[in-house]
Amino acid sequence: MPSEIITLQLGQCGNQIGFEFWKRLCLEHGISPSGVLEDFATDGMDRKDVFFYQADDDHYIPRAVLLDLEPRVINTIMTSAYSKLYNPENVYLSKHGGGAGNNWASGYGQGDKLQEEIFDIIDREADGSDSLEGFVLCHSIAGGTGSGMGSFLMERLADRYPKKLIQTYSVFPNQDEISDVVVQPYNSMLTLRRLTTAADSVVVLDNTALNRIACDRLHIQNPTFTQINTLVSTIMSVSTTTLRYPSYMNNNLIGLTAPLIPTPQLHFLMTGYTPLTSDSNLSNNAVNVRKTTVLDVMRRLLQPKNMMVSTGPDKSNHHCYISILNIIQGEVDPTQVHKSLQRIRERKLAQFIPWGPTSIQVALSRSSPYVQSSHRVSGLMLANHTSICSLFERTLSQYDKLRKRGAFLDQFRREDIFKDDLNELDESREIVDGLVQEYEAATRMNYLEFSANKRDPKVDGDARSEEPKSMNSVGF
Amino acid sequence: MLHDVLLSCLSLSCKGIGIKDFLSSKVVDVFLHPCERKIFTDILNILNYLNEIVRFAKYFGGVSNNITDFDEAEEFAAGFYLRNFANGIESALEDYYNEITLLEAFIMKNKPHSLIHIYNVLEKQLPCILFLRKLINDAKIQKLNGCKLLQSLYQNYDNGDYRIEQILLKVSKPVKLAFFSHLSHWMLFGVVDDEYAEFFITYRSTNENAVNNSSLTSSTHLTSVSEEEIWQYEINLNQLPSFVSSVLAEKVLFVGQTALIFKMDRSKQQNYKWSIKSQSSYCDAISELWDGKEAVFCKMIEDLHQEDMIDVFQLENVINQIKKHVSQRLSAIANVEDDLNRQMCLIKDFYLLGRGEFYMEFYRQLTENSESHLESTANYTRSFEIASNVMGISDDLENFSLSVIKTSIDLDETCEFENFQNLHLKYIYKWPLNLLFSPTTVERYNTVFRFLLIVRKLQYDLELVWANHKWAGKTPNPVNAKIMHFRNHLMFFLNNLQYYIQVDVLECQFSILMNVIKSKADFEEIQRAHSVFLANVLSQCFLLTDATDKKLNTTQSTCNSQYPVYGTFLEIFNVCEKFCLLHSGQNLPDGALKECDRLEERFNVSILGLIKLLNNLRSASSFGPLSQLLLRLDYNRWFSAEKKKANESS
Repeated sequence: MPSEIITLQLGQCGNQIGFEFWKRLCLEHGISPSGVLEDFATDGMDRKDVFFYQADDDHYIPRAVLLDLEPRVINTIMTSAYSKLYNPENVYLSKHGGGAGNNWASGYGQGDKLQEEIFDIIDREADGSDSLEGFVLCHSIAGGTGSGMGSFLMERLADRYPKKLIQTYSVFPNQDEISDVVVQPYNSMLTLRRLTTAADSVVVLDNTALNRIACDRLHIQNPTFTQINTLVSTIMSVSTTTLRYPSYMNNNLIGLTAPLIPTPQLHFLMTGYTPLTSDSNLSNNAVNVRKTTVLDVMRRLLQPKNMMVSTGPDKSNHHCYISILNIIQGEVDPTQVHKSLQRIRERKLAQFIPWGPTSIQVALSRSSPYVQSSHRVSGLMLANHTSICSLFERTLSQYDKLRKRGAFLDQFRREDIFKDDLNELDESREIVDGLVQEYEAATRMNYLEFSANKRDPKVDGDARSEEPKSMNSVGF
Repeated sequence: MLHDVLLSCLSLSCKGIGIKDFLSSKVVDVFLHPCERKIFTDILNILNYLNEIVRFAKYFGGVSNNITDFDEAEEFAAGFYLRNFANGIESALEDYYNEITLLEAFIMKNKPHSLIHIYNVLEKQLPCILFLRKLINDAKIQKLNGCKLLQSLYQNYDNGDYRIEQILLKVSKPVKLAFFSHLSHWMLFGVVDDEYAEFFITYRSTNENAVNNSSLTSSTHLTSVSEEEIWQYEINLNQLPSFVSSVLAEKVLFVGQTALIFKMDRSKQQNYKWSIKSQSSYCDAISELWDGKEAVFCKMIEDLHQEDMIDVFQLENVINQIKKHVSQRLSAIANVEDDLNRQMCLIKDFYLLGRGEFYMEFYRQLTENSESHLESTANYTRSFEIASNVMGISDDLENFSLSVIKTSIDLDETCEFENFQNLHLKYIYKWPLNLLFSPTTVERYNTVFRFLLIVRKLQYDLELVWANHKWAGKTPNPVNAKIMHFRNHLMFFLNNLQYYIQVDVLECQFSILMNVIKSKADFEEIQRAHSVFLANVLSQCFLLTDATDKKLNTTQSTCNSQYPVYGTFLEIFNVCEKFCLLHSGQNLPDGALKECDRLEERFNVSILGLIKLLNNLRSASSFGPLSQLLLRLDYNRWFSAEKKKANESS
């Protein structure tokens, strides 16, 4: 079975969302927690083999690699009902079990030391697939293991598998509350650099927005990790639904991401999902939300409050969509799609880039027959929107504050990568700043000239922070 | 002498020679009074008319074929109906003969009688005789035969004269018999025994040896029917009588074809399980269709014949009843024996590329195998098989096979995608679905299939180029931004074209079709919905071209051909392919940038032309599909802005 995808889950957060993701996949494909295909699911028209491989006739094993430096989360998984689901050889815990201490540099350094053992697992998995299409990485960018070791792995993967896609589901920290991880801005900055340079597409899951959505939309006062992770697993499973329930288009990772990402750097994707219901208010509101139509879904998906990324107010109102893919599930009358597209254009509900053709792509997808949906129609939006740079800007400013004070740098200096100097941090900042510039430039008409010109300074090793406006003279 | 006259009134074979001679000689003057002479001439005139009629009737009706030298025979179109017509006339003359017999008896009893008495009797018959003569003349002049003859008789109904009407009924009765026996043979058994092409359904053989076939099928009813033959029965509009509307004729055709399908040798078509079943049930294959009701329907048609006149409403009613039974029976069987829904979904999955992941694997195999030394034709077939194995859907695909058929069109050798025009996907449908898949239908499916295959292939290639560009972005030598933007435009076009086809056209039309299938138990309506579905798909994909135009478009690649939209598509496909070819190697060849510029120029001209065309067409007519495609392509009004720019600069 071609176009297989290997999932790597790193660190506490990565393993938690990964766990929810696999639970959800098992449910959708009719696979029991122990990996056995349920009787009712034997003649499914789905493709389990993208994410699972078959051990024998009815036994499915996830193509997942579980990595962590401390045992807590993985132990929880391995003592749950799903313990028999995973291939035990694919679970890697560091021997000391001491974690990375929320330190990026520690995670990165440990990744370096453990790489042989880790790549034994990954290579074995890759060899076991017909034509591997790519890797999906689940992690958070703020902690130590997911961010540090994740960064290291991304770099190594890009090196080792230059013709495979690397997609990540990256959880960004909640910026509304004060984190107990003081070096979080450093960690984020260093990880963001790798997400920019080594990953092929990044699905941004912003904890700030996820919490807000849980409060505002689902009316949960203090959302727990489990509730947030359920949201995340929904997004992960729906965004892979065209791979698992294939139809005419978007049936592989390339086909799914290629239309969304016009130039290599602009590969940070936002998501939105509607309608959202939690179990608690399902019974009350079910009747109200059930009558969703395609237009409702598509319109709601364009509302910022449904986005899983908090972008902050766009004061100058210049941000715009680079591309949109809507995956619509449920009982859809296909004629409605065109009408909805028309309505959205008439009402100017979405603002698009001025430098190229773009549109809202709507993929009608089948969904699992084994999971009952309370809605007639539901939809996920994968969007490339320039306002995502405000998220990076916030990270930049937090980083700058900390960096100016030179705070908490000692624990970084202890690691190999920072032994001599802190150049790594400064370079990362430059690259992330360049990314922000690129997104800003993408809102303007002359983005083509910007992207044509920016290569030159980079080759010279120069910073890419020049003002794009000064580059009006075209020189190839 | 009177008796002589009477005799010649009855036995007309002697051509009235005796009387003619008698009239020319002087003897007449001796025996006849001068005023009787006139009457005598009139009687002879009537007898001459009668003579004509009887000679016609005798010659064609020919039970006792004693007239062999009917010199006008050439002027009639021979046939079964004409013979029956002659018989009808013969029987219509019965009244007249009876009258003469009565007259003879009367004269025998009462000696003194004048010629005028005979004349009176004959004159009473004159209108009928003239009418019969008119009918014969009509048939002669217009060379009527078959259903046309019946049609001409039908037109003479409502004559207003009671006696003439009676005569007409007698005349048309045998002709009606011919018609209804044809009708019942065709509808109940799928047989047209019609060597003079008189029925409104004819067998048209498409190949040489089928000439033998046609006589064969008409003589040996019980042998099995081959697949192609079903589609060689057509409605012959020349023989379609006015009291059968074309809709009704379609229904009649449908019923007969269904009967034929039940007669088909199923063991050839079906897998092993089926053949066992059909062997046991073959003999009563057709009774499976009629479900014991053939006698009822046969009686119904017979009753129609018993009616004096052709009752159009009754006819329609009976045909509708039979059609309803047949189509309900058919859909019951189609639904029970093989799930129609499933079959249609398979069609959608494979002809209409619903299973994108399978075709993606197909392309992958195609690219991989192209390096081996296989001949390209074998490569397609092989890749198709490998892909089905790899995807583990060989079960679904067991009835599909891909083959390469060399068409007579000289394809443009410079475009690789033109090779796809040679591909032919064959689908072995399960037995009662033959009615849905005529050879023309299959060819139409293939037209759509090939078009979609090309679009998908180019999209696949472009995605690979995207991936290469993406990975190059991580290296110190990223790809030129201009090339990437051009790639984005191409990809955008292909993606949106595909979304348009798949969602706006295929999904929409398919859901309409599926709703019909779900809601209706009637097979004929399904059949109609199916052809509407295909017609809509073809027209909304701008594919309504025939082979010669296709050639014109590919070789000239201009927008001013007859099918401008399709022509523009091909031009853009060409650009896409050239672009992908340019990027197939590891490194960009020298001058790639220049080449890209040239391609971009071509693309821009084409797409702006397309937008303009769509805009014009849209404003000219309210053709929905165009505005749907336009909306998708020009969603953020980028192309229309470009167009404006281009206009301003020029």
